[in-house]
Amino acid sequence: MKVDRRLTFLLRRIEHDVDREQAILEIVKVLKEKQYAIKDICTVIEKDIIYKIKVLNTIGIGCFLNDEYDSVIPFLEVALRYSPTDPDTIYNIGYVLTKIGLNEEAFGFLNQVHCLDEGVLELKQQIKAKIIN
Amino acid sequence: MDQYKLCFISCVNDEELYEESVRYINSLHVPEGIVIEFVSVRNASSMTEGYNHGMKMSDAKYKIYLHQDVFLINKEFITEILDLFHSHPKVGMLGVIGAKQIPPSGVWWEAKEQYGVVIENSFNSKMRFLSLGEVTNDIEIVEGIDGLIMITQYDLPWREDIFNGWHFYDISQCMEFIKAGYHVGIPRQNQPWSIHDCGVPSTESYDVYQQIFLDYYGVIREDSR
Repeated sequence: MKVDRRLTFLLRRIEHDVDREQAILEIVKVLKEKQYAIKDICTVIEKDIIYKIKVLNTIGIGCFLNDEYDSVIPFLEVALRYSPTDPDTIYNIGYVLTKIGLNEEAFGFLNQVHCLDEGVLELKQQIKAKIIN
Repeated sequence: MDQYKLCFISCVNDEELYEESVRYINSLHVPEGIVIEFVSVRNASSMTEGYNHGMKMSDAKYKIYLHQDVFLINKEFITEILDLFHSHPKVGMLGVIGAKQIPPSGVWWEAKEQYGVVIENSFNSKMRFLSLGEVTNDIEIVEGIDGLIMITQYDLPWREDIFNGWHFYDISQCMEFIKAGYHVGIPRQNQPWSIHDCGVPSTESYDVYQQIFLDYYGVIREDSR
């Protein structure tokens, strides 16, 4: 199968919830095996995907849950570039940073962005409590 | 005819693409008691010949003729089309985009009043929403629908005697349904029901079939107005 087409099919399945979990695992696998780089995936998302932020967040979190840690923040950062105020992306970045023990960075990030989403504010409070304790 | 059966019919010359299209159909919600089947036609000499072959192979009352590069993303697609057809027995065929009135050129997308929505990439190969006029009722009755997907509740032969290529088979079939006394329509889609991953389309021999369409249906269209 052509390179772009395979990636397009996997990403589009994630976008439209068609065999989604399997598609996420396949994306993680191709990243781990270095068959594709993050930028290859982002290029396909730019061209073929409508709901870009949703897909980038799903892949970012998919990478986190499947131990592909180096790819997590890069995907979430691309999502943030598409929409700097998207609460899901902001939450996910803060969440991932604190989960890997970077509480100061997570708190600093959440302080920088202007987001009044309830979930984000709650996460911010939890991280603050961790830092104080 | 089996009123509890739907048949998805495609002409196929790209196995990977068709397999992907089937994957989306298999992810749709199928109401209890409804059976779906697939008919894929290979080596068709024309769209009409392929679709006639597919139509004859199935006893399903409801048939969905779709391109191999169409992906259905509305999970409730089957329920919605069954509800629409049950409520509108005069509607013979549904599509997702089309034109209120076919213009003198015969080219539906040159019409002033267009309806429907699809996600597609025919413009510059980048996916986009193609949002035409909004359908505010259950169904907008139109004269022509695009062939990317054509959903029927009655069987009428495709005019393979006239359209022996890959263009104008869709608007021809709309004319055949209208001639037979049925309506053709576009349903309201709160979100697009389908993706058409067609890329920039081929226009080879388009003008030939355009002229055939105008010659054959010109008088009929004038008489019906």
